[in-house]
Amino acid sequence: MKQLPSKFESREALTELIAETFESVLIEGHRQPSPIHGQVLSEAELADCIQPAAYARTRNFYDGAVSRLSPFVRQGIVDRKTLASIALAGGAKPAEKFIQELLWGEFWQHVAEARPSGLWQDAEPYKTGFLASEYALELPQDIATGTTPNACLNHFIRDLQETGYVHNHARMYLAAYVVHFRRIRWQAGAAWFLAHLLDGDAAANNYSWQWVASTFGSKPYIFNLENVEKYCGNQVDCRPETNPELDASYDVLSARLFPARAL
Amino acid sequence: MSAQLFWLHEEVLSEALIQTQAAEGCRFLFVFDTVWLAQRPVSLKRIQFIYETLVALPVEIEIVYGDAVDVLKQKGQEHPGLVCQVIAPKDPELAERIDGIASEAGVAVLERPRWFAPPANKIARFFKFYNAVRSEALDAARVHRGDL
Repeated sequence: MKQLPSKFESREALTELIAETFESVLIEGHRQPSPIHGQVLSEAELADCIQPAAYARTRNFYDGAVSRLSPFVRQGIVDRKTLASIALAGGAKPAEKFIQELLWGEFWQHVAEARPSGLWQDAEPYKTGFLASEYALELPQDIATGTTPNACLNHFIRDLQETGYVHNHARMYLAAYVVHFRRIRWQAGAAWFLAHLLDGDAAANNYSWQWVASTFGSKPYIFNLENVEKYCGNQVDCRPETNPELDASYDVLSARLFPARAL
Repeated sequence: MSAQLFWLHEEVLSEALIQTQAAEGCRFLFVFDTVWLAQRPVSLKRIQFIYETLVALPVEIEIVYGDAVDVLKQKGQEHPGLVCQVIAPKDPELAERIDGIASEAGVAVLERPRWFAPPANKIARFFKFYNAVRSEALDAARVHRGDL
């Protein structure tokens, strides 16, 4: 048991203390703090982060007007009801999509409370044509280190590991890549995300992985390079030659990734 | 009975909650629980984010690294009759850990505040859930703003 200080000369001093004190419990590597600082936010600062109308139009884009407040929600610094109330200040209609997304978080919580075993166990069988036993248990090194054959995915992995924040669409791409392109159990990817994400919430994270995997949904979620290019192309390397595994139509990918399902 | 010691955890770093408790003369404790961290390993980034928030909150918080059972038991031994409270977390696995600590160390677990009452029945698809709770959620948010 160790008493820890509450005053630091600098951010670097806090990082040093954490690296030393928490050495035995931290995940390996990545001993840098996030550019996102833990802090208390005033209502005015929160309001600055929330643009409901722009959010409704652009949230699926990598540079869309998302609030990036999820780490603050996760730590209880602000609650979703307060964010909804701020969004409503501009009227109910423009706030609708933003509030709907807040309610996704409440939904995952509802699901996890109803089925806590689903945090780490398949809620249903995979609908991919494969048995759970045909999926690898461990995350391969190239994914863990962001050195896959695909530049856009490596970009998202760097986001995860260097900042602890990943755009929601990029999370879905990474999850689909891990589970369907590499045939790894969703649990390995979910644990990887939970360890790095500042907003890592087991209910939302794990059940979202299950949804992508198809163990909590009717079909597997997949994507192709054209989709990444549409939503992230102005920020991320989406050239076909640097993303060889992703450059195909959905029909071709489905047949390649789920051969038994296509029969 | 109001708490003399409020045990904070990683889901309840709310300034409003802390100020309410502080107004009642409460002291605050945060434990980086080594047992929980071993169960759910995280990056330095996550620890630093939590730590930075703790030191930014407008009250003094005692911050301890160790097994939370030992920490809370020691508090009870140092201050016989101490009333210590904690808010139940959302995370089912963290809730299990906190329930275990609370029963060993004599801590009262309070129900967590909710945005709205959850549906009585299990709902496994989002839009069914959304349609069931939307109206109540919007009303609660408007009340929070003072519109109603």
